[in-house]
Amino acid sequence: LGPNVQVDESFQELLAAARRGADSAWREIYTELSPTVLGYLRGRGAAEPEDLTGEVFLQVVRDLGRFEGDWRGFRAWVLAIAHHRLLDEGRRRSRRPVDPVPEPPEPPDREPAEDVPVGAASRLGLERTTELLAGLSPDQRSVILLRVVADLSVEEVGRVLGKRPGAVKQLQRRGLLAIRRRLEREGVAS
Amino acid sequence: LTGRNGNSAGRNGDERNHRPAWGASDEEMRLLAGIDADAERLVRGEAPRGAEPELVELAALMRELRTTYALPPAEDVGERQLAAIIAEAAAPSAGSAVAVGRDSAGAVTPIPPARRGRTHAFRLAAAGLATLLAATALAIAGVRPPAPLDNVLQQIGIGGEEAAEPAGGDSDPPARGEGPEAPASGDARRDGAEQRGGGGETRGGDRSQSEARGAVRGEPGAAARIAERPSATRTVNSAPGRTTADEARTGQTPPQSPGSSGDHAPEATGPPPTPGSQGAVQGLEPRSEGKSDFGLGQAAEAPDRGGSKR
Repeated sequence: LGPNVQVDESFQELLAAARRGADSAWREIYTELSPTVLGYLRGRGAAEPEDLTGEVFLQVVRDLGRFEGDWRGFRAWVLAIAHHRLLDEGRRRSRRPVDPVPEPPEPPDREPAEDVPVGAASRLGLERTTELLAGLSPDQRSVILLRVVADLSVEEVGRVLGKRPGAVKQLQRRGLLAIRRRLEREGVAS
Repeated sequence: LTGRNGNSAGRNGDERNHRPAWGASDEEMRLLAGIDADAERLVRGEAPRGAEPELVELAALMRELRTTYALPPAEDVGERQLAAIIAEAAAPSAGSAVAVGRDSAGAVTPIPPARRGRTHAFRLAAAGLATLLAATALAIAGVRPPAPLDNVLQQIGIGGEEAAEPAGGDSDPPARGEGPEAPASGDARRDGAEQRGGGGETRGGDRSQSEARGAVRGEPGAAARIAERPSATRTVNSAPGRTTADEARTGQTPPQSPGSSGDHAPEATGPPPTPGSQGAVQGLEPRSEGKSDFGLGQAAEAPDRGGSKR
């Protein structure tokens, strides 16, 4: 996350500028949050995650007047919009009930961060990551993605999904266990 | 630690201790016991100390997830979406009409401000034209419009005193359609044609009154001419020797004069009117083909041109 918007005081200024329609404010918000929103939607198997991301941010623009809170709260709020948009899309697709399989993202064209160790994770690859995610239930997948990709706390995930923290922890446990069992079965060497 | 169902995480192989239906093993139960703390480390991509290889792998997977999924949209997509967001944010108030649409590829894209202005212009033109047509219809029906509107109509050459006059039997509803009143329309048409021919550059009140009278009588061509009133100034510059639409339909050619409207000539290519039974409204049909600046055709299409999303 950008260091500027993590400070609440800076975020309030950013929020005020966004409410005034300042281009720079919206550019910063979009730059900061679009990767997270897109990652969540992609991981959840949205049919057109990039288009849906655009629609999420348009909704953010329309509803910004109703938001109050800090930067972390804002992130959770935006992801809640993304989650509801995803559910709406699922309802629209319900005539053709197909279990959404996450679309693997395009390989990054940037160099990986230096603090990310190159090891087993690299061997897994994008497709493998996607395949493992696809083995989770939708709720488990949401929890894992929101916790890992969006970096939300258990409580924040609960607010996004409309669940209590205990339920979120349970989904998190079972999701991690499901992935672990899959790794054990496939005998991934360390 | 024995659960309510007698489950025990520590006594492997004891048949009295049933495992959960979802098939948790002892290792999984141990993982569950400490998972709340370890899960926090795992989702951060850190393996618990002394963890099994699978947990190390799981932590690596979480890191992989974070770095590969949280990627920004493609550059062109991002720019397009950002433009749409900024356009939406620049709207007068949140929740106002969305100035976004979908391009040919179906992607969200903003409508350029210039195009939005054009849409507003079309709407204004459509509203003006609708008002004009409504006034014309009132005049045809013999209803006098409210005074302010009447004044405006008089200024632009429609309605006025004559429109309000019953004009005898000519203004009766049957006169617009069929029966013995139909020839009267023909007379009126001739009157109008003569006036145009004899008057040279006739414009304004006399001509308007003549046409309004024809409209009241149900003359097809009169209504069309009234509808064309906004462009009537063009008759001043029109070329002589061209026939009007009505003249072309009826085959009557009045004495040529500089005041004959050449702008009406294309209408002569339209379908001929059904004698007598066609009301004045039918005279408007050629106008709906979008031949004037803001004809009915364009006005009807105007709301669709915005492509507004909401």
